[in-house]
This record gives sequence, structure tokens and C-alpha cells, in this order.
Amino acid sequence: MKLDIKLLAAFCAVALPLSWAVSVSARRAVHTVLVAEVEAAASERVPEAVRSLRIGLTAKDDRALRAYVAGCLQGFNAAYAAAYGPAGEPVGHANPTPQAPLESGLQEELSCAHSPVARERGVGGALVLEYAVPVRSPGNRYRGALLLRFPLARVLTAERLIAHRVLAFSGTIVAATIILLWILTRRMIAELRRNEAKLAQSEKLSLVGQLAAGIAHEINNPLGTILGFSQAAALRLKGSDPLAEPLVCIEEEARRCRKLVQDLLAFSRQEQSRLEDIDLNEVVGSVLGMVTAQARLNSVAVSSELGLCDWVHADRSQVQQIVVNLCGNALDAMPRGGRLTVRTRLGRSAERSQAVIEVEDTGPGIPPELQRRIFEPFFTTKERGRGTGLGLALAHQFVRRHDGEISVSSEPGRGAVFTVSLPLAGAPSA
Amino acid sequence: MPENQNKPAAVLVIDDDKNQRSMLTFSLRDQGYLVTAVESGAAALTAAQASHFDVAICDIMMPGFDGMETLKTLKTRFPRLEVVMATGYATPKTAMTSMKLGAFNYIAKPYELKDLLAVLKKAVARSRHDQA
Repeated sequence: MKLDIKLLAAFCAVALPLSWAVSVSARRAVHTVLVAEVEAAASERVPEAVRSLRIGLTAKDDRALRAYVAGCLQGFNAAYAAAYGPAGEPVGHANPTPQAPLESGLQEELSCAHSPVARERGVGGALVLEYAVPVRSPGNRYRGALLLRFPLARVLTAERLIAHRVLAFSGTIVAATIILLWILTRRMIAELRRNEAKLAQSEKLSLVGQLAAGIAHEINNPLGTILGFSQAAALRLKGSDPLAEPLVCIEEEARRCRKLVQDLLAFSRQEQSRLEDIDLNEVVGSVLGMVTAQARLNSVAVSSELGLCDWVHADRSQVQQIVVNLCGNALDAMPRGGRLTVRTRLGRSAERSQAVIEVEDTGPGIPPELQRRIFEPFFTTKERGRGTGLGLALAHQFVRRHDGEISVSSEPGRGAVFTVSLPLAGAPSA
Repeated sequence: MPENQNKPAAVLVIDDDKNQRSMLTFSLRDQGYLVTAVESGAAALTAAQASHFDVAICDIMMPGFDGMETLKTLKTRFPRLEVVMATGYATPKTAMTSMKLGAFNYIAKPYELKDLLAVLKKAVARSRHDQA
């Protein structure tokens, strides 16, 4: 709807002046043609020039036209006066007919038509140009006006006029079309750019996935050896052996690598999500048990507000993973305690009803400049060794697979809220 | 500790990775198992023919005679030998195939030693129960 109004406004802003310009230029073209016609028509009628009358023309019209009409009328009136005597008739009342003597209509108080009036008039399908030209004798003794009618059939037929109008109209249509195309093209380009950005992101992820799949085996084998040896060696130690610390350290590092490879592999798995109708509150609840145990270690209080929530069409394990990752992230943001709140509720987007999961923490918040980047793979603000930079990226990918949305809202110093929306069961899937 | 009815349980380790074999030998011997480690499926068949094993731990991705073929052959020739499959690239598909071909269990590398030991203990128990 918004688009339509915008388009209409753009159409009016550009098309209307353009249509005006086109029709003005059409009128100008007609005008020039008319001058020639006046010349031709007048020269046929005007007899030999007699210089006893002068014509005052005040036309603000085209100069060439004025000059022509003036010249023609001068001769015409002179001849007229010579034949019938100086006189005039009111403009528009009658055509000057050479048979009727003009003195009968002598009018000193003549008040109309101080300037030539040109107008087009349809007569029997043909067009006629009427010129009303005031005339007066020197010293204002005689005043009058001439109504000159020039048939324009040869010059400007009704068809031609229509053609002009059609031209003006089609010019408007063409202009509107061009504008429309221009707007649509711009929109398409913008859309393409957005898609390109999305594509680049998904290509990045898929590259990560391929790499992960390719090297997983090669990394997991040596990791297995390292982990196994460190654990087996540690089992040999008795009491407080000084080798315990290095062995535990080796073991922890191996576990960290394993986590990284596992997260990477989660990207690479191309297998279909197993979509089923799940009870979102039940799934979120199952995760909360796990989260609460971990939260206790950080002295973080966990509260849940599981609201009325319909069934959701989703992959259970992926939804669990999303909630685990968001909660894990929230806990990491509150190393010195705080409050973790997990909510579920029904929400509405522009197109559909959806289930919403919110995970809120009371940590330091996320600066605006980082909010755009936190869903990128390998982006992490955690200290070295704490995060792989894949937790939120993975959540993001899972949400996208469900045709859902994930977003963050945060102000520095006031915690952060991650909001995930998922399609309800039975909602048409895109 | 393995289920020790009469004698220590014998474990056959099949892996093309030398360090992996070395680690399993080290770890499992410490836990009281008799460990033999070989680097290929062919060598595993030879070893299994030469002496009795309760359990085999078999890598899946090996050059030539791979883990799945080894598993199939071992289960055909030595039905009472329990085979635990281990792989560095675990997928649901390989897990499913392993179980269908008669593996006792399936474990993804890198595994926790205690998890492997738990699986081995059960495998030995099953193997010996079948024999009894």
C-alpha cells in the first residue's frame, strides 16, 4: 500500500508537468503553422493597400503573428475604408460583411476587444480560427473591430488536433511508464543487493560447512588421540602429582577443539530438518532445567514466563539448540550474577501469527555497532578460549531454516533481549 | 574394570592411525584389557583368526578395506565378537549402517575415555553372555 501511494505521488510529480509541457509544445507547433495560414488567407483577401487607416494592435501574442496580422489588416482596412467609408463593428457580434456599410454600426463607446482574441472553434468538424482585431482611425475618430475567420481545415484538422492530444496523452503515458520502470528498477536493484548480501553470508556459511566437513575427520582423529592419552595418563596419577595440571590442561584444550569442530559440523550438515508439531513451552522447559544448573554456578537467577503458546512446526533438537545457545550466551554475559528471563508468547508479524521466544539477560548489553555482527560466524567478544563464535551464528542459521526470525535489542548497561519468532503449526510455510 | 569372569577381556583395535592405536593400547591396558592393535581390516581378520577376541574397536574411514567391510566380514566369520565402531566424522547414516551390519555400538571421535570404557564393559559382558 505504501508503495502504491509513493508511486502515485511520483507519477503526479513528474507526469503532470511533463504532460503540460508536451501539450504546450504541441500548441506552439500549431501556432507557427497558423501564422503561415493567416498569411496565406489574408493575402488572398487583401486588396491593394490604401494608407488612410492605421490599426492599433495590442496583441501580447507571438510577434511574428502580430506583424503579419497587422500588415494584412492595414491593407485590408484601407481597402475597406476606401470602398465603404471608415467604420467599425463590435467584436464578435457579426462577421464583417463587405455588403453592409459599416458606418451604421459606428460606436464611439466601443468597449470590448482591445486586443486580438484568437480562438479555435469547431465548425462542422473543421476548425476555424477567429481573430477579433480592434481597429481605429488616427485621432480615435473611428473605432471598430474586425472579426477575421480563417478556415484551418488544411492546417489543423480535428484529426490532427486529436493526434496532438493523443501525442500529449501518450507522452504522459510514456513518461509515467518510464518513471514506473525507473522506480521498479531501483527497487529491484535494492532487492538484488540485499539478496546478494544474504547470498554472500550463506555462501560464507556453506564454505565454512564444507571446510568443516572436510577437515572434521582429520582433526577428530588426532583430537581423539590427545584426549584419550591425557585422560588415560591422568588415571595413572596418584595423589597430588605435578603432572596432573598439564594433563588436565591438555584434556581441556582437546575438549575445546572438539566443541569447535562440532559447532562447525552443525553448519555443514545438509540433512533436512525434521519438522514436527512441537509444544514450544515443553521444549523450552526441557532446556531450562539444564540451564538452571549452569546458572547456579554463575549465581544467576533464572525465571521463566511461559505464556500461552500454540504448537510450533519445528525441528525439536534445533529449537532446543537455539534456546541453549541463547541462554548460554546470556549466562556468559553475566559472570558476576544477574537474572536470566526466558519468555514464550504468541506474536504477530505483518503476514502471520507466530510463536515468540525471548531470552533476556541483565548483563552489560551489546553496543549498537556490534549488534549487526553478533550473528556472524566466528564473531565473538568473549575472552580467548571461552567462545567459538559459532553459538549465535548457529542459532541464526537454525532460525532461518525454520523461516523464522531472530533479532537482538540492547542498550549498553541495560542487558540484552534476544527475540526468536517461529511459524506456528498449521501456518502456511514460505 | 572389565567384566572378569575368568580372564581379562581381549580387545582388538583396528585403526590406520598409529597414534590412535598407541593411545588405545596404552589406555585399555591400564584398565586391565588385553590389547592387540592392527592397522587394517585385512590384518584384523588375520588377528581374529589367530586368537580369540571379546571386542573389537574398529575405525570406519580406512584406506582399502574400510571399517564397514571389516565389520561385515568380522560379524560373518566371528558372530560372537562384539564390534564397536569409531569414527572421526560421525553422521546418522554411518551410525545406522553400522548398527544394521551388526555393530554393538557406535562412538564418535574424539570420545571421552570413560564413555569408551563404559561401552567396552557392556560389549564384553554381551560377548561373554553369548558365549555362555
